[in-house]
Amino acid sequence: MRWRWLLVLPVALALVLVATASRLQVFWWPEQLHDVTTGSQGAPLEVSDAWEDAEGHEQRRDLTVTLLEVVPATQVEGFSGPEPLVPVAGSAVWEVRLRLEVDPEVPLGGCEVSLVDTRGREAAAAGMMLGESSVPGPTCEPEGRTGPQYDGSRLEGDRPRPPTYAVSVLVVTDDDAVPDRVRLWWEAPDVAEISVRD
Amino acid sequence: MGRGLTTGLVGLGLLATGSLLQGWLPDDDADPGAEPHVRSGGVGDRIDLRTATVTVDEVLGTTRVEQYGSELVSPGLWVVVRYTVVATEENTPITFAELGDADGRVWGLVGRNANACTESPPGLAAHCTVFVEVPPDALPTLQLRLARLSRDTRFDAMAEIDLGLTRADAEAFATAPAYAVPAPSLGDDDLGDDDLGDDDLGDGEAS
Amino acid sequence: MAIARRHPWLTATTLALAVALLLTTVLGGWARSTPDGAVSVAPGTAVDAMPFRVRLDEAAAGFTLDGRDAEPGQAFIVVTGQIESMAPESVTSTPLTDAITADLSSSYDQFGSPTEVPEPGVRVAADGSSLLGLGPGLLYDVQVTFVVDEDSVPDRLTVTLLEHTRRASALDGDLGWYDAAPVARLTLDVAPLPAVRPEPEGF
Repeated sequence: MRWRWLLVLPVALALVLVATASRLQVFWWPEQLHDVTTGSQGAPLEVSDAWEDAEGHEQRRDLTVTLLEVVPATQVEGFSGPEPLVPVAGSAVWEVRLRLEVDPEVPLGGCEVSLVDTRGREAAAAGMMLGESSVPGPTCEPEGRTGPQYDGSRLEGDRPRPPTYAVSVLVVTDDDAVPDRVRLWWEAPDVAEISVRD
Repeated sequence: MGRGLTTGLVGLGLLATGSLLQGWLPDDDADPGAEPHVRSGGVGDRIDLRTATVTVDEVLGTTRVEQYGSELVSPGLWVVVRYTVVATEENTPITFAELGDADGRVWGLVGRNANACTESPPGLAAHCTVFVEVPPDALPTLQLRLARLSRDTRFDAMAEIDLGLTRADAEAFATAPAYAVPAPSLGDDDLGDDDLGDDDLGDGEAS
Repeated sequence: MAIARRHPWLTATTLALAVALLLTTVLGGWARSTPDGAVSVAPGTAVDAMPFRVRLDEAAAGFTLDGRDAEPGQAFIVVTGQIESMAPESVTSTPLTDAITADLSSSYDQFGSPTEVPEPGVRVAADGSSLLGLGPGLLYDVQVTFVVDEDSVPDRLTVTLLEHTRRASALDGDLGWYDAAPVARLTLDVAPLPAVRPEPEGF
């Protein structure tokens, strides 16, 4: 009869595995973008994105985003206006043009954009120096026309944001990258993923 | 009397073994699964850090470095390491760097030490420089450790590079000229002299 | 041993005294100490204020520091000396700032705000750079600086050195240097301010 205790072993092992997997649940999973809304270039995509305000209450932002085009970027904002982008060996810069339709009172600060290529590599839009050019980080609001900040305040001197507008986001990749999808998100886990038309 | 003694001795033996084992097993705070996964190599080796590769290109040393127009003079030696990061899957910054020797001494990105780097988009090389001041006697066993996140190196891969320095290097570094730390850069372009300093032509124009 | 058996109380007292003497010797001797446990030392003495070894030599008051002028109505007190870290790993600026204080009224922190407990700036004498943390095995010639009201510059400065304990943080378990406690005190003559405040540059 004693050998029956051996049957407990696999159960115990399974329990140990599950218990240690809790680390995945607590640390890793919530940081991943796994609530995906998919769309395709040219088609308006309705996105509903959850965020938490300063008091911890859940808010939602609802917007319609259309991927207009992904094209090689030719200029970048310099100190005194647009400057031509000087190519840097091994690199490419893409202009991701998005049209957003959203209530002007919805906060849109801190948006993230990335370009996934046909090899599945994901290049993030981020502020960086590329040669002599300063490539800005992503923004989803027009220059000088912003909605509210997350604490309810507004940027001094900015005019109200129009209900419909287009923005360009620059993404630096290597010169092998062939854009396949654009990802747009604010916080995990919600993300919009829009395929680039060939 | 005999049986009691035996029982007592066995009991003591078990207690001793138990407490020995307890000391040997990891406690609540230790987290062996979370230790960074160390990948070792030497100067010139391409080391895989899961989302990027890092390669140490050059190791230099001096008593004076220049950055942002200021000179930093060390009572020891500045060890300057030029390295390249190439992301494979996603943008990868290298923000953790430290030097360590065989005696367990560690010099981190604290004080005047700094890591001049920029994140690498997939496939696009980032050229970085880390400079750390150390005592000359550390050079013969000095290793550089690089990792992606400075906040928390748990769950991550870490490169550990033997810098291959000797006492002869320590002597040479002590008399080397001042080194102007280059700004981090992206791409395949030759690096040139785009340093983080003022123009040194003396004509008042920034380079 | 027959004596011991016959005079147990005497023996016990003698033994106790011997142990007390032994312990006191081992723990640091009969040094002159102040109420908080800090030992008085002369200027120029190297003091172990863990994780640092600090030697402070001289103090002087001035209106400029490395080409930088003090704010109107304020002045610098600069103490020259040496600092080295005895810790095996790099130490950040917080234990360094917390390791040194002085008996100054009206002192200002590095951002210019008045501060109750005088906070030093620590600069590397060779190049004027701020020493915001340091690694093992490096002996720095330093200037320890305080910012005070011009009218409150003292003739003598008593500097207190504090030691820290290496332990795990209560918050996140990370090892660090905490619980600063005074370990030594020294008094320095302060070389007085120049008679005339120099004109600010560039006017």
